[in-house]
Amino acid sequence: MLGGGVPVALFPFFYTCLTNNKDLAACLDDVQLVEGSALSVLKKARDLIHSGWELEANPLYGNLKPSQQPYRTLVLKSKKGETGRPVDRFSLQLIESAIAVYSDCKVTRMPGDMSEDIDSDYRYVDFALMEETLKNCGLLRKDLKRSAGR
Amino acid sequence: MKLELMKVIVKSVSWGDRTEILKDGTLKVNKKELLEHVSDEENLKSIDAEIALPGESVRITPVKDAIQPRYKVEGGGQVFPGMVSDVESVGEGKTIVLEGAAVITCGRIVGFQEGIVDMSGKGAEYTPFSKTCNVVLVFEPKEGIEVYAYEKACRLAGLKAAMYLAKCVHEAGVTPDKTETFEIPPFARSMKEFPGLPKVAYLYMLQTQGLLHDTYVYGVDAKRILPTIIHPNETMDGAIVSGNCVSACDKNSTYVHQNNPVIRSLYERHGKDINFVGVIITNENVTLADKRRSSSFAVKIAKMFGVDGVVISEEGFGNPDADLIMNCRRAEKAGVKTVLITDEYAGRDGASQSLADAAQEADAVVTAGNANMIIDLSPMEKVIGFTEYVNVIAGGFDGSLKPDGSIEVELQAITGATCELGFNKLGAETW
Amino acid sequence: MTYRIVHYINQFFAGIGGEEKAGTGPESKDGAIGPGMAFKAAFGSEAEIVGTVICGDGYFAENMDGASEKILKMISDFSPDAVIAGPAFNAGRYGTACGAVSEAVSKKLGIPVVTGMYPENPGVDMYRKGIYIVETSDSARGIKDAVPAMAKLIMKLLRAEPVGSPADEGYIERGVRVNCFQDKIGAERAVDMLVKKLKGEEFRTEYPMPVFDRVAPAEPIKDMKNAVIALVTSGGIVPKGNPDHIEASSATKYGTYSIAGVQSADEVAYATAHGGYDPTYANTDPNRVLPIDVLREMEKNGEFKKLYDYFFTTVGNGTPVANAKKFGTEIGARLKKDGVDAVILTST
Repeated sequence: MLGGGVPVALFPFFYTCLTNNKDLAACLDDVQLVEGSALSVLKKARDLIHSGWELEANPLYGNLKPSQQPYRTLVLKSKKGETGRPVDRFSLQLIESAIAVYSDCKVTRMPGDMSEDIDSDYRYVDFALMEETLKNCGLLRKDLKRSAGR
Repeated sequence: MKLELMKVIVKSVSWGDRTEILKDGTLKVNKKELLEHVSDEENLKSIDAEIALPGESVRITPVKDAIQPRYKVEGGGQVFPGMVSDVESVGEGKTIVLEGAAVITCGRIVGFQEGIVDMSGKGAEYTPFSKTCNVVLVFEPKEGIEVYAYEKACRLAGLKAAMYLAKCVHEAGVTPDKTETFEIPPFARSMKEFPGLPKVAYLYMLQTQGLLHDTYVYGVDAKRILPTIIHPNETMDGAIVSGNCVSACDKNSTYVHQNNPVIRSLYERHGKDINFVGVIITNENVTLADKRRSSSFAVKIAKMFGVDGVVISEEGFGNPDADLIMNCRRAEKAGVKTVLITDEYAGRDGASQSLADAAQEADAVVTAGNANMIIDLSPMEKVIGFTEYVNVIAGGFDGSLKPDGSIEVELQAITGATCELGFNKLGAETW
Repeated sequence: MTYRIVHYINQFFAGIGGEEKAGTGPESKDGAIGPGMAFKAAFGSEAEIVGTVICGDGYFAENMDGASEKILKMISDFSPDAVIAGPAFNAGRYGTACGAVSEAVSKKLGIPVVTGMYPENPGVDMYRKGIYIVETSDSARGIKDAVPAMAKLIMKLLRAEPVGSPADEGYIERGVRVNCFQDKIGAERAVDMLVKKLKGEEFRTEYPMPVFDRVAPAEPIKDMKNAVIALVTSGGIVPKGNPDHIEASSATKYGTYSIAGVQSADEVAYATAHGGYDPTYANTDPNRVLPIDVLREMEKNGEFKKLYDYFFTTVGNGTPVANAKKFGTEIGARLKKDGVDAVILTST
């Protein structure tokens, strides 16, 4: 996106966020905190996509792999005032690919698997990568400040 | 635009009273001066420097970036514009290069910070930086400093060090061992040259997803740009700088941006089988709207050039694969032939789907190898940096770091091992 | 040392009989039999076939788990160093059996095993990832090439020598990505490839994209009231007793059964043959998988013209893609010929 700031309401959308990252959830307005693994977040998103929601961002953001990063945050949108929407095929294809990547991975990382030190770093990077998207969707209530090194 | 790279070959590095290069190719470095030059009291608690040479039993971890010492001696602007130098455009004139040397930055930004460079042994076969004479900077952050600020401080310190080394060598007086010239004239001329040859451009994808996943062009966060054209020579003067360190194997270090092998290869064939027209840079953002905007815009630029083919390189896995395939499909549909360079995550047994996205149109692909391949790294006598976090290095797993100091890890953890600019000879086949 | 090898073959190659003897259960014999003699010659003094285990292809297909277990026991009773199976050439059930036995030997006995098949044998797709399948011709005439290739590969495995590429060693691509250093750097290979592609010359991609076998959907029915609808299922509903012995998994056939006059798939006349789900609810009321009752109701109400007189059924459990394609094509052709407009395909 060019620049930052409040989005222009050219296309009236509802936005929602699905995440298993509790630090991030605490900073958001419209959020569904999912208990469990990244894969559960993806599957919940798939349910929403089947009900007509669309993905705002690619589910496979970030270069940390499923075997490392336990956290996943998805932002979805739906057009205001429309009912009986057909399924967005691009979103469906993306979420199914993401689910395939996660299902293929032999290791399932769960939140809390690693020491709090490391786990909080993963939560932070997850937040950092989605921060701008969340801000532009008007979902971000407050920032998550973080100091380096220990 | 014409650029001459004046290459000074570095055969070894050692500490000395003066930063200069000796006749036998040894780069002497005044450690105190170097550290003073890069010191950053505000953000960094400490910086230390060490030397690591090819063949030594040395392991460097966690590696953040690698930078080649360069310094402009003639022509507008200075290396790493917008970062440690002024923002003027670069790519013309003369630039001195300390070939065979590298600055490696090493600092714990987050706990799972990563990248391993082994200077000997099995791991050395896979990283380009086992063949360079390295000056390693090791950082510790100031108490309570914000992560973004620390990452930036590390990034800038590395660039400063690289520039300092080349500048001192130049000022001490040196004759380059060889000079390479790179020239592509303005479009008005270049488009008419070599009428029988196909026009080719390079679509250069930059990692731009956020903290630890960013790239900078003239100091601008590439997340914020619309795709645009740059002259290939600008990359040689450090116009593109890495802020990315995840994951180690396919992150493009500043060093490989400076020595972009696709640009080198295209220059080599220029005038022989192709007319190398230019470079289009584009990004790999997270939102779908941004991806479509960039992809559409970048391919449109290629069409405006009227190119017959493009080489497309990417950086990263998953999200970037979607951009890579999107760019490929758009280009092919527009009548522009493509060749893609990527790496693979085919699982430890090599049997999983290698890319997160796929398309029939991607019929010409070069692979930099399977990043999930397991490799056993024998213990090294000396470790520069911190090893406690190897188990959480991307590509590492519980029990990666063995009591005897050896490491069993995926190729993913080795810096530059599967560089998607096609920097290495590594490839993969289906067996 | 002379390696001890056990050979697995089917009833035909054992000289017991043809299709009529396909129901033969597992048997164990000392020494080499049939094609085993050719292997014996190929091994010379380096290895010997200490025993042969035989099983009828039909028996194996219908009793996969039980048969595998018995066969594995018979094999291990010989204390072998390695196992060879087949070659099965293009025989589907034999290929499936060789593949299954080979995989079981590899996983449970942990010793080297090699088999041989024609690339289109359904057993190839099912088992290629886990075991070495030497490429053979499509008929037994190719035995003179298959045997030396299989013998050479098993000897390599026994000596723990590194196994090279499919092209070098003669086995069918397993679909596994292996890293190897090339002569040139990736960027040069990319530019080379682009130059060739632009010239229209042949080039070889380093990463073949997965094949997408997309089927374009047919147009939706416009006139439902006059449409003839057929029922097809991969849920495995068959007339009780499974008269055509459709296998519980890796089905090699489909069944065609008349439902003229049948109002419901009741539990007296029908049951499920599918081995991939708990059969309780399907057996209590097979209409749950094959909804004849609902369709008859709709037919009576005139919602569509007629329910086609036959239903087609198979078991969609580990079905090799090649088989599924074959069934689909044949069934589709028959339905088209008989004027069916649309199909309700149920699966589980």
